[in-house]
Order: sequence, then structure tokens, then C-alpha cells
Amino acid sequence: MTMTKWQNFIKGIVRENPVLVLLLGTCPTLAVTTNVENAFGMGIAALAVLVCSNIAISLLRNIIPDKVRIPCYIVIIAAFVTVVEMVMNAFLPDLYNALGVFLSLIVVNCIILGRAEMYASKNGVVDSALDALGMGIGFTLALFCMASVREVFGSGSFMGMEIPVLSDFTVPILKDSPGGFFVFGVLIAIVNAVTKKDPKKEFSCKGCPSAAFCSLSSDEKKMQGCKTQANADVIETAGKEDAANGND
Amino acid sequence: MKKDSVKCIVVLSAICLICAAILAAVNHITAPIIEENKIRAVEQSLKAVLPDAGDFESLELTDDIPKTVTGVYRDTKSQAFAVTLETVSSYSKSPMAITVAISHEGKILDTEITNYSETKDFVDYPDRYIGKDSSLSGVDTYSGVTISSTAFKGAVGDAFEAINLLSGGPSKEESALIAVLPEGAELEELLVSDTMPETVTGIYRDAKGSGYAVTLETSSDYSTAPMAITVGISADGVILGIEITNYSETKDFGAFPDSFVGKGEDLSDIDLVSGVTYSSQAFKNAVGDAFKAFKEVQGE
Repeated sequence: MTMTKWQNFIKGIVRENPVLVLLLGTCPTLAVTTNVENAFGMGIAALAVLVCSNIAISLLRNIIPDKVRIPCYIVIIAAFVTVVEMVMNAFLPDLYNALGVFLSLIVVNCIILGRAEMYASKNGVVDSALDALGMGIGFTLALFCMASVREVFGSGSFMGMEIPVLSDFTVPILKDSPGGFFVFGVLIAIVNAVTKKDPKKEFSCKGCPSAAFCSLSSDEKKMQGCKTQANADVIETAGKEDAANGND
Repeated sequence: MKKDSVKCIVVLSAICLICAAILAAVNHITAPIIEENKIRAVEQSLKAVLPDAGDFESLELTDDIPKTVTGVYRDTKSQAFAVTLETVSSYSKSPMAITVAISHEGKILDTEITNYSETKDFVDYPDRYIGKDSSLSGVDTYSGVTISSTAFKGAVGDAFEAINLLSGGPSKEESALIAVLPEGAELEELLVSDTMPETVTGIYRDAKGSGYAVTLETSSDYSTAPMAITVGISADGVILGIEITNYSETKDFGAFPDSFVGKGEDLSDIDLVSGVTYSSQAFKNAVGDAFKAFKEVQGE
């Protein structure tokens, strides 16, 4: 199913939001969303790395052999993350210190490697860039929403500025992990309701959130261990056997 | 097959080289700016911990100053000290930079964390040090961040050590040697032979004949963090005193070292400390090694 460039860009923002729909990059999402400033900074850093790595990997997709594609992607992603770290350390030292170890952890953020493997390695530069831009904006938006709720109701402030009245009636648990998970769950529920996502999972590629841009053929999916397709075949075969036994 | 392998190696190597070249170029541009930021951050941290200070006089660091100390500054107005330190938490190996202001009378005026990249925050833990002296008594580690707060506490201890040394006082090790032997002991350093246990780093005899002091360095099976102790043993083989000069575990020994005082070589009746069993076993083994070194110099 081919998408227009606009659809390609917009899908990552809500309908296939990497954090709230695809459930990728959960670790930094929970860790840096205690305040809006850090969350926004992390989002922009991840967006920059995502766009640069997608463009680079898309440009090199016909050169990189399949056998060493993962090491190559990781080297490229790690290089871009290091560049972002050095630039941030030089020009935004306060944000660099605030993000700390989570900046380096962008290297192993599932969103970056996931989009590289599933999209950039199979599509052109412009499409890959638009996909990365959409996913990056979606990631930043998700982090911003979570951080807004957690900081406003957990700390009584927004971007470090104290909010009158609210600052006297905070819910401290929102600043800790349990509160983070709670806000995360509520946001996922809201996005599911907004996108009218079918709660019943189909055991086929139709129910896989990555189906729209997975370009593998049915046989290739089975060979690569795509469980949804393999499960669908097993269930179909089992169903046929049951039907045959029942007929007997 | 061989052609595919060669292509894989060439492509991966080429990507690594190009990435390295890009990183080198970016580093060349950003390194001077980062260095300037660090200097500015130090100046800001000095002002943050001593806001009423006049000018800062930078003191020259000597070789015996703890390695965590990156700078010692004296306020020309109040004669208070500001010490900048960089330590590493054994939990994540990420750097932690702090600045400690210590008054002329030896009390902590303020602390400031200038670089901290752990995932869990200290919150108000540094404020607990304000008003404390070099003993840092009553300051425990911070729940949930025990390893990093232990590193923080160690760094603050190093700040006091640095000021003490620059003021002409004895080092922590020298103080421990004096503490474990009777007052007025005159120490002669003896040779540490190859046959002595590996944990022994130094052995000293009191020229007045009261006994020996043995310095040891060990680590527990639990963590690789070093533990340094000094054991004083009388001429007839009885423990006179034990001082811990370096200990970075999160749980304290409490009064465990005192249970060795008055004991001879047989330490079998000394129980380990619950909750710190590995470290207290390492401590006990080190005291046993001290006796081995003691017996060797006595010629037994």
C-alpha cells in the first residue's frame, strides 16, 4: 500500500506514534519526562539523530550488505548521537548536564534502530527523511504531553516556572516511576480512543502495527521468523486439521 | 562467499573510518568551547558556594592530594576554601563533579553539584553536609542512590584531606599510623618483602619498641571497590588499634574494627557484620595478613 508523502510524514505523529502506539523508546520516555524542558530537549535530540541516521542509512542502503547491516546502522547512529552530544555540550551545556546519561542512550533507543531497519533501509531518501521527521515529532510530542502532566501536577510548575495555587497541591507520585507509568497508560488509552484502534488483535499481518510499511513477502516473513504470519499459518493449518478430524 | 565477506569487511570498515573522521572534525570544533564552558562552570560554582567571596586564590596541588580533587581555591576575604572535585560512581562509571566550600574553622559552608548524570536525583542530600566537620558524622547514604551518594561522601572527605595537606597537616595515612600506635611512637619504615601477603602495602616499626603498624589494601568479593586499613600490633602480638583510611562500600562497618582491639592472632571468635558480610570478611582477612607480615619482620 503506497502512501503519499504527507501521509508518510503525518502517520508518526498520532496514528503510529512511536511511543504511544508502537510502544518504542519507553525507557527515556519515563525517565526524562519529570520536567518539560528536559523532555523537549531529549525529543529534539532524538529527532535530529533520527532524521540524520535515516537519511544516511537510506543513502547507503544499496551499498551496505545484508549480513553487516545492523553493525553498520549502529555505527552510524552512534556517530550521530556523539555529534549531537558534543554540539549540545558546547552550545547547550545546561541541557547536556540535565539529560546526562539519557543522551548517550539514544543510541539504543528502539525508535532509531527500528525505523532504520524497517523503513530507511528499504525506501528512498526523501521518504525516509519524512518518516523520521514524523516519528521524531511524534516522539517529542509524546514526551512533551507526558512531561506537561507530570510536571504540572507532580511539581506544580511548567518549564521550571511555578504555577500559583497548583504548586501547593501537588501529587508527588507523578514525579516517580509509578506515576510515570500511570500517566503513560492513560495517554495510551486516550490515543487508542482517538484513533479508534480495534482492541481485538488479529493473528495475521493485518493486526501488526508495522504491516503498512513491511515490504516482505509472505515467505520472507516466515523465514525471518515473523511470528504473526507464522502463527497465522499454524492456526490456519490447525484449523484445517481439526475440521478434517471432525469430518472423520 | 569470499567476495561477500570481503565486501562486508570493506563496507563496515569504510563506514567506521568515515564516522571517525566526522567525529574528529566535530570534536576539533567543539572541544575548545567545551573547555571554556568547564572553566566558566568552575567559576560559577565557586561563586555559588561562596557568594560573598572576594577574589579566589588558586592553590597549587601537590602529589599527595587525593586524585578526585581538581582544584583548591582560597577566598582572600574570609580565608574559606572552595574545593572542586570530580569523582566517579562505581555504579555507572559516569563522572560526578562537585564543589565544596569549607570555612577556615573546618566546617562545610555549602556544596554544589556541577555535573551529575545518574538517572536518580540526590534531591536535598548535599544540603545534609552543611555545618559538618571532617568526621562527616551523622551523614548517611541516600536511599535509592546509595552508591553515588557514597562516592559523593568520599569526595567531600577528600576535600577535607586536600585542605588538611595544603595547610601542612598529616595525610589520612599518616594520621592512621599515629592513631594505631601509642602516643609518641617514632616510626621507621621497613621493607615490604615479596613473601609478605599481597594486601600489605607498608610496614612500620616504632623505634621505641611499642610495636608495629601495617598498612593494607584489599577489596571484598562483593565489589571491586578498594578498602585500605592500618593495623597497629604490639611487640607481643596484640592488636592496639585499627583505622580505616579508605572505604567506599554503601553500608558502614559500625563498631566492627573496635572488636579486634586487644585480640591476638586468633580471630576466629570475631563474627562478621550482618549486611556487610563480604566486606567484613575481607577486613578480617586483611587483619590476618597484618599478623603474617608482623611475624615475618619479627623473624619467626
